Amino acid sequence: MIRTLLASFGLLLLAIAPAQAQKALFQSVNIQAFDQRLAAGADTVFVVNFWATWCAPCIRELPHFDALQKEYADKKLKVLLVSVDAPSRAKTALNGFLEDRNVHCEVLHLNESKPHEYIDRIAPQWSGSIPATLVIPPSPGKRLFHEGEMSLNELHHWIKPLINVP
Amino acid sequence: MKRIFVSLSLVLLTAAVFSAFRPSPETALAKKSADEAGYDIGSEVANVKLKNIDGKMVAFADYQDQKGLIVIFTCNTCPYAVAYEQRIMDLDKKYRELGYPVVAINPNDVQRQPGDSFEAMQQRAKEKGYTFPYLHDETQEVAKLFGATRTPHVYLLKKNNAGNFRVAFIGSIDDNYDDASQVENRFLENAIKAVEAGNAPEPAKVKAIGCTIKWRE
Repeated sequence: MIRTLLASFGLLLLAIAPAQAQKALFQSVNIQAFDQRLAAGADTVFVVNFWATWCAPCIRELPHFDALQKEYADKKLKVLLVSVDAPSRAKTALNGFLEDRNVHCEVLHLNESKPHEYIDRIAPQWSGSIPATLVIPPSPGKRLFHEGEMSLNELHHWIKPLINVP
Repeated sequence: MKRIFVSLSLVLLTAAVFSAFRPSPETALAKKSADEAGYDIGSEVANVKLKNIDGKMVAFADYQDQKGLIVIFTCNTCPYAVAYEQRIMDLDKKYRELGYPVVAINPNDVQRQPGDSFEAMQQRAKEKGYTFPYLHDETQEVAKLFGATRTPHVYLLKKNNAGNFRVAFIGSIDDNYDDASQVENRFLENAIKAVEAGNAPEPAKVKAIGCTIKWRE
């Protein structure tokens, strides 16, 4: 009996699987998971951009990050676009936004409802406005942080010394 | 008359006087990174004077009979500011009677954000029935003076015995912009309660996500 049940459950899963096989457009993480993600790539330069679907200047600069990731595709550089959209609306807002646009970088959603608890943890000098960009060089390098829009040139200026570019 | 009359000499004088009485750095309230500018907790504020949506000038000195002021840098266009709009209106209704009226200031550059033009501000205030002044910081000098970076960005001012407004709290109205019914911590209201009881607000500073002020290029 149990076997039959398990088998039919398995079949059910198989039936559902194709519908869910579609690649998720973003991953939701809490602040602990986000920290762990960064810690796991100690040999990587992380370029972390904090943005939201409602933030016009953020959306304007998103292509710079795609360009950056593309340019350093063969280097140990990882761009993470971290959305701070409100948890209650993130799924709809992000899926809608990402479906409409060709964003190549990995997108994370920071699933935290209390910004005052995570802002200092991410960068003590961050007042909380977005866009904001954090560059984490391979350990033990000094983190770079900027609040406000950045041009592609400014990003290059930060990244080049951290990556072995001839 | 478009220029803001911030008395620089007053600012410099109060800064000089105040630095002499500044609490030791380990009190943390005075802690500040080098690239951060503007008022801190305890700073005495200048007599800001800006044009209100009714065309008349409003000065902080006009509020001498009040116990304090809730100064909020906000705007028409930022979704965060819009999410807080009703709460800002409610705050004015509740705290005006207690001697802490709201003064809203829009610091966004109109070139970069046409939706924050003086006319758009007038329209918004009329539509929503703002009961508080909505001042246009056209030169952005006041936002810079305060060190405001985002909208909304809240400063609670408390009048001291000498009749001067000092910064008692900097930050966010509460801990949930998304859903007013899910708020757990009303930072600003708790700060008002604290200063009413003669205490220093704790926390005195609260960070929040917000829209970058659209600075003039």
